[in-house]
Amino acid sequence: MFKAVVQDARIWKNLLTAISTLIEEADFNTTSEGLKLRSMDPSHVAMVDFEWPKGAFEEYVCDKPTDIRVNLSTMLKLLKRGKSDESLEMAYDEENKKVNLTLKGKILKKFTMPTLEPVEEEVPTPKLSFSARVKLMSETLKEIVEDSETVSDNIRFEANPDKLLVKASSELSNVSMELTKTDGALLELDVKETAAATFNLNYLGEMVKAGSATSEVVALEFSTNMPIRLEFEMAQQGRLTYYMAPRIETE
Amino acid sequence: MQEPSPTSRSSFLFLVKPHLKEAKDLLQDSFRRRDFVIISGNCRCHYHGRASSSLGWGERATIVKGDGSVQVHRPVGYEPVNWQPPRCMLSVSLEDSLLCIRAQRPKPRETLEIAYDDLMFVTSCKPVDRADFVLYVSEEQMRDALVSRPSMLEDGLEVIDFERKVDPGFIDFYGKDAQGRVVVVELKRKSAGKDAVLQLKRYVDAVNETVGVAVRGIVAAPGLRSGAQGTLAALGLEYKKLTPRACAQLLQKRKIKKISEFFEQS
Repeated sequence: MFKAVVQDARIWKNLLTAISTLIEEADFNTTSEGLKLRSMDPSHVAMVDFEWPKGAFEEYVCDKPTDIRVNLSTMLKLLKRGKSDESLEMAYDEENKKVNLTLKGKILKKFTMPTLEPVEEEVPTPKLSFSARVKLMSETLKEIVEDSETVSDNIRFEANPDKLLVKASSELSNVSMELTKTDGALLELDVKETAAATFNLNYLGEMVKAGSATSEVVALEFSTNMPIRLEFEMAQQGRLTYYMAPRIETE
Repeated sequence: MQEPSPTSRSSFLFLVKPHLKEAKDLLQDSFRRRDFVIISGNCRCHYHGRASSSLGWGERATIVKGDGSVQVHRPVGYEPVNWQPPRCMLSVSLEDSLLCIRAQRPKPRETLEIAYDDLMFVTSCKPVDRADFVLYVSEEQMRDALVSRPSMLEDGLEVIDFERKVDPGFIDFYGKDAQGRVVVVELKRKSAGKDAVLQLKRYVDAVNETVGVAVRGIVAAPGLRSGAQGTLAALGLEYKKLTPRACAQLLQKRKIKKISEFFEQS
């Protein structure tokens, strides 16, 4: 059996919203240790790696490893009914292959939704080493992403030991931003080697906007023309990580 | 990257003249697995939602795809007579000796009901298709390619503006060459004729009136139609070869990498 309780239903709603920026259907792997999800978006440009350990739940029971696949928009539609003072219980009805969601507030609300056949596709862990690591407030990252969106579909990050440069340009206009620790824009800056890479804003913008609702701090890691890793730190030992491939112009 | 053609084909189930009960059991599992399904037989359809329609008995094929979209095809025509977009909730049941397939869309609430009384065949599979669909580029995409890399037309060429409004219309590409001269480019995705040359001449004249430097006019196309060459020379304009294929290749190269390409690297 699988049963998990989250104290604040909104937290779970924000996390699922963040996951739903990349995928429509989610395969949750539940074990006695907790819940995990790793999936690529349909075009295989980006990947989401989500982990919510047992201890991050108010209550957690899972007696055997089970894969539960659900349609995220269906689940989110139900979760959007949740209020801040409501707790959420999720339980899997193995016999009927349904997920039961219970929102507990002034009213006890029980929703039942169908599950889908899990897909047996192992998504490997990308083995990457990064030459730049930058930590900043999610709000700051959201701001520079939105600024870049005003002029371009792409965003370029350039990091050197002193600062992070963010650039976006289209044929006719461009924007450039400079972030340093001294000015208070960055919390951490650790650059082993100068790094520069460009990413598509349609993807990154969605990830950053949804991700910043789940966490106040985000760590960016990248290397020249390699994928970027975005990790939203969670207070409750949970982890929401995105990976996204760079945009490369080949000659 | 070119995907290798799969050597082993996906497996599939195929029922010939199945009983309705047998078909119902198969479809129940297929819908849950989000298989690609084709059902052929005698059916009638009812749709209600934003409008409503009904289609009497007839022999038709229903296609249900893994994304939850549904199409009902009559024996002729390329368009389905009834359809539902992706992400429908699918269900199947036996009602009054009919096999009923229901595709529901919650928002806007729309339902398509297809009832079969007799089946020719039912097939269910999970086809694998990862190829990229390469569309022959449009004139607009040729312009995007040229704007992103003007040097594909001439070394030292730079973009100043595109789709620039001048009195006779819009200039596809407006830039300057290595010598600082203004360059006006008229793009054609097929061989350019006299009309394209005359159009370019009007743009060049319009620009000539407003700028104080020399203006060059270039017709960029995969070829030049007979007769256009003389006009071009007489008007002091130029022709440069630019093919949709070269533009497509450039746009293709600029595309985003896939994250899976980085899995093996460490």
